[in-house]
Amino acid sequence: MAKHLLEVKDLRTSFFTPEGEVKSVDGVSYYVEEGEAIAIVGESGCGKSVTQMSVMQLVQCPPGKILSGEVLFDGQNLLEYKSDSKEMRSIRGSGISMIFQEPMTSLNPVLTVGAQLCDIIITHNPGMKKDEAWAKGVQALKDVGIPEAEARMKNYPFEMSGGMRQRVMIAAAIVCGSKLIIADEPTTALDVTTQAQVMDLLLELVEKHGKSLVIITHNLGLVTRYASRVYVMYAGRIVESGTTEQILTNPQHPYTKGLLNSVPKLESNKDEDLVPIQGMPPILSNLPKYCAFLPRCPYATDKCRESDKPMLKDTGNTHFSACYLTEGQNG
Amino acid sequence: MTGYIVKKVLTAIGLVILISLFTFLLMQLLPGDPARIALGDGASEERIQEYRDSYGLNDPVLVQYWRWITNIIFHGDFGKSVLNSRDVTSYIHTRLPNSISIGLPGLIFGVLVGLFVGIVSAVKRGGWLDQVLTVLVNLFLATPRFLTAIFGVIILALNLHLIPLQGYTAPWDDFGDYVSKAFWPVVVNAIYTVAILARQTRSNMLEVISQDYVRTARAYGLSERKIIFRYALKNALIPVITIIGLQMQNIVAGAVIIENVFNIPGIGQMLLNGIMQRDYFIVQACVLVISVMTVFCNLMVDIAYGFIDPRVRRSMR
Amino acid sequence: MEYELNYNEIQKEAKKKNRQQSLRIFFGRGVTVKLCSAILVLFVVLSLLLPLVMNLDPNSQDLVNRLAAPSAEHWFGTDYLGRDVFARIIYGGRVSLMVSLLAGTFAAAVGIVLGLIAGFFGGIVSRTIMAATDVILSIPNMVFTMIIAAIMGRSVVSLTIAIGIGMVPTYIRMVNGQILQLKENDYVVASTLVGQSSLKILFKHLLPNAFPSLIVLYTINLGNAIMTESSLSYLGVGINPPTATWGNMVSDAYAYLYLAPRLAIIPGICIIVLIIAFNIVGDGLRDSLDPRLRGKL
Repeated sequence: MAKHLLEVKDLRTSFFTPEGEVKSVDGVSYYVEEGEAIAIVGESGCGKSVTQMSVMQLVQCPPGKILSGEVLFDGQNLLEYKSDSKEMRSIRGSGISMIFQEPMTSLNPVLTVGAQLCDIIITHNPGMKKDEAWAKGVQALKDVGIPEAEARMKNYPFEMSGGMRQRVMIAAAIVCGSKLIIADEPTTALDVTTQAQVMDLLLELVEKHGKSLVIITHNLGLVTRYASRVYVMYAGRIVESGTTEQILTNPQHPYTKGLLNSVPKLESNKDEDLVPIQGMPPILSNLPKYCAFLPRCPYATDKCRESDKPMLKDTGNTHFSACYLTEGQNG
Repeated sequence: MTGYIVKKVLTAIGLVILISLFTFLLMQLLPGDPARIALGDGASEERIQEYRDSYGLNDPVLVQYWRWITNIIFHGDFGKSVLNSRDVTSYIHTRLPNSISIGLPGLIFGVLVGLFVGIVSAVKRGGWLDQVLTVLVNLFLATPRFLTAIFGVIILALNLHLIPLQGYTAPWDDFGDYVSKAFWPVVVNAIYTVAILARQTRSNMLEVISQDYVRTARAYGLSERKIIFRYALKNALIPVITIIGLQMQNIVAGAVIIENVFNIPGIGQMLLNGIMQRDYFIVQACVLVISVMTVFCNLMVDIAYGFIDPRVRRSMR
Repeated sequence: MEYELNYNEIQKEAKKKNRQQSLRIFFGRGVTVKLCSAILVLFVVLSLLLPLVMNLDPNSQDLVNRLAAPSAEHWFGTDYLGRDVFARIIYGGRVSLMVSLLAGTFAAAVGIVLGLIAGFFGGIVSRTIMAATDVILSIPNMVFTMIIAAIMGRSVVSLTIAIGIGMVPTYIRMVNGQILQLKENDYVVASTLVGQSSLKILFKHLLPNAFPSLIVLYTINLGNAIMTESSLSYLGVGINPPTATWGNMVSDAYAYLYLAPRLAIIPGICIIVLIIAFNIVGDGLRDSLDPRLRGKL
């Protein structure tokens, strides 16, 4: 078994708003192996982004607060460091890097791409000369397949296309040797052809350079091609996890089944109707004691209504599901 | 870039022409006949007609305007005071430097302190210092200048005897005397600018800090210091430049009030006296000078924008 | 188990913090706004009703009792002509409130109509209105209002109109800007495409959208109007003495700053409190009506 590069254990993050506590991340555990790409899937607002922001300790405090848990990166618990400590800052960008959803707004509009890359390089290599940093930036742009990298360094972000900007973000993510890249909806804002190019580039980093990748997405289509394992999140908790094949071919949790039924499949019968999940995502500030998916669940039983939230249980071959229906299926 | 500047300059010139025309027409609406004001109530109808003819007051309004504006442009001649036949150009010439000696330090002081207060508030957002500063800013925004001036006089001059009650000495005559007399007027003039800039800078900084690219900078390990000074400050200050440009208006409005409270022989006092005495040429000249200065400041701001904001700079190519 | 306890502790602490935070929001914003609204109502009620209940005469002189200190008979003392300062404050408040309300409403009405015309008709009409707006905004507001006041003569009505005219351009700019911005919005484009008439679009989409900004601008302008009125009255180009206005009272007090500073301080504080109240109520309205506007007005 490969080494766990990142292991998150029972992470809890809440936001304290005037309406009450919002448990955005409610006991989430997952791991990423070296050289592996995993996906965390869920609707918007299910806490998948906040989980990653908590790993990086970038949750705005107040109103957000990481309440408990462990984030083991390369064997050290990141939550032992303060959010603005030197140790944490050196992890960000040169240990774990993040790529964000909106390439339009994720880069500073009044600084050139080169200036921003150099800022990052010099932050993690104190004392490096400006021209060395510049050369390193140019190389990073070349690595992510940006033509005329020298000239591009002098461009402002608004002079580039969305796909190009996302490539710049990826260049920034690898330029200081991060082992883990967290990509938060990296392709949502891009058009379809660019989406594939950006995803292929990310996958290349995993396969050729041994990076690890966490893809956060609501798009199951991305998962099938790029991730080896999948975590499905609902209302701040992981409700199902397993290999991509397990999740796609043999979904256990009713929510996962619902997600799969609501996306078109190439091989499926054309007459088959798409079935959307009924109801609305829950309001996180006012969660019931019982299973959060229950109000939308077509299979709910009395047991579900009377019990606490179900815990993740192995249904066989490290395929986990948090549902009373799937519990005890394999003894 | 040149095209952009030329366009802005032409717009500004057009605006100045419109302002001069507007001011001139506005003056025609002022009640009272200049001739009667000049000659006094006892003057005979014949003398008045004679006066009107000799000053061209019977000509059509646009002809009068043309004469006025061409005299200004080609001879630098703003006409003569109706009341005492004094040359308005030389009058402005003696008065304007006094106003500038109060207004310019006020503007500089106000901008610097305002930016500083705004940045401190934003960096310490939510802390006690921020809360105290915010209360002070709101208080000063709600205090008319004449009250700031008078309250200061009550405390600083009458009770603590730190500053003279009123009066003015030009800095080039006696600098020490200027400093002691101009101190409070300059501060009063600056306070409003400080409050406006502090509020704007603070809210811009907070807005920028919540932007995605600041989150990116944090996610790549940049220190909070670097984020504030390299990322937030530059982006937050670009819109503040506009506000700085608008402060010219505040300084002028301040000049009218402050020069009257402290009895400073500047252009604001000249304007107020002109209005009270219906001295057309003086009012016209003052309004024109003041407006041109305002337009000039806004023009400078527009051009500065072009240099500072890469989005504007590149789009102008 | 130990962990569970710890977690509960954190929860408890978090709950407490949460409560404190909402209390702070309540006291920090809610109460200030409520207090300021109460102050505004109090000013209006006192200045309107008190003269009916009490025997207040702002202009009767009592030269024997000049500059008298506050007493049971004269709550705020008397001024340099022996006039009752309390009565003058109440009557001055009437003038200030009336001038600001009327000027603000006048400016809003004229400005909104002109702004709508400029925004909707475009072409030469729009350009004329916007050019006039630019010209007026290039003349410092204070100076412009002074000149208009001088043209109209020194009375309450003329000062009201002068201040109103001075504030018109801000409304034109805002309405015009809102229209230009909203015209770009997809849903307005959509309604144009489905063939709704301009007037219908105007009432269905544009006005409701512009309303929050307008109401905030209106409130803040009421404060500005009081500032301008008192400043002009102080300078002697506002309302003619002996009419009691707060600005006139400060102006009268100037010669007696050493003997009786309260003559300047009392009306001065009234002016500041009223302006602060308008500003804070305006801020509160802005935050509750449209949080997006925070920091923009």
